[in-house]
Amino acid sequence: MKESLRMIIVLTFFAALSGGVLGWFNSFTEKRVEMNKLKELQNSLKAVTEMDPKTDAYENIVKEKDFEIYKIISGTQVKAYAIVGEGNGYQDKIRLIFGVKPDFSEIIALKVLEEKETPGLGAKIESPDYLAQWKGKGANSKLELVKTPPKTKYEVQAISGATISSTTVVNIVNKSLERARRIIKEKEEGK
Amino acid sequence: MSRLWKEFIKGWWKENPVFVMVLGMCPTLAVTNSVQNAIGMIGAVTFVLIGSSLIVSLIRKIVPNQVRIATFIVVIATFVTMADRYLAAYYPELSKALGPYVPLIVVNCIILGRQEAFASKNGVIASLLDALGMSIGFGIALMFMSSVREILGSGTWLGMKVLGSWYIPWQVMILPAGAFFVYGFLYWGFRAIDKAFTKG
Repeated sequence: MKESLRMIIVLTFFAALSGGVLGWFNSFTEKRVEMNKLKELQNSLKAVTEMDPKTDAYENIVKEKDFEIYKIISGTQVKAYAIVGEGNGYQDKIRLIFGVKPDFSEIIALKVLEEKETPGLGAKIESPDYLAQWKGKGANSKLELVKTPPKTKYEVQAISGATISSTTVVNIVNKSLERARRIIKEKEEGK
Repeated sequence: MSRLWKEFIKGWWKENPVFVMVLGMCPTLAVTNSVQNAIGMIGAVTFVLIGSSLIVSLIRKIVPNQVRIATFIVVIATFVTMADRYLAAYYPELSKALGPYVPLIVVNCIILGRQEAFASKNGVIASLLDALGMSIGFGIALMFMSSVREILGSGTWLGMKVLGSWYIPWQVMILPAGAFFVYGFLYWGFRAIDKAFTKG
């Protein structure tokens, strides 16, 4: 009996001590972690919407696990929307953010937030060459994946040897655009 | 003194945790695709190993035998969580690259193995030296692995270009398969050198 009581006391004591230490440690790392997240978000918004962090404000409209919309406001005008979407790539989830003009006519720019695709093949979706072609793609109709250099602004060229990764990126953009268009339309009509 | 020195250096070669004891394979294979990741992992493992060896050697006499593993795990998990939070707060990029492998240090056999085999039976100073020596051994192994993999797989070392533009990166080296190839060859090399020395 005495032995088991000792076991309980020792284990409880160390568990409580561990909790205390971690609580104390968390109290000063948490702020930094939050700050890092915020900074990362601002950098992404800046990269995809040409947002000027000094004069423009942003507002989170939708926040779901796999879908987010941010409204970039410059003064009183809506300058752009930034949309976060995700889908299944070749190995793991691909998560990306892209900016669209407020009338959904064009995509401003696209950035990959997370990917674990094959280095040298699918991972090229993060390469500047590939991302550059997203500038100015049409956002008011479905985008299509092509294997040759694109002829219209509704065509996106695939990366050779990375069909699944390329398809996923286009699908995420199409799906997220459709959803964002619907939500924003509803919001505007709601006003 | 010579005994303590022995405890310190045994982890470098004679009882190298990676190449002799074949422990801690998860980080050895998973995060050695770049030297930077390896350095982050070495730092985290060193911190956790030294911290938990210190605490375990201090408390070894008051912990009942039946709950020793549970207590050691609590101690180790505390240090691992601290390392993980610290990386997330001050090195967000590195923390993202290492992903789940920092929290997974909790189940790294090197750490629990040292507590069970050494720190729970020895004094504070011997345990600290043992932990430091083992961390150095782990560090040597990870630096070898990651250097070979990054140079062959990306043509760079710690992000600096070391092979000219003529070199076409051997991408399989930074993929999981490359980890097994490199580990196999390095293990072979270590054993061969060890054998040659013990014979001579």
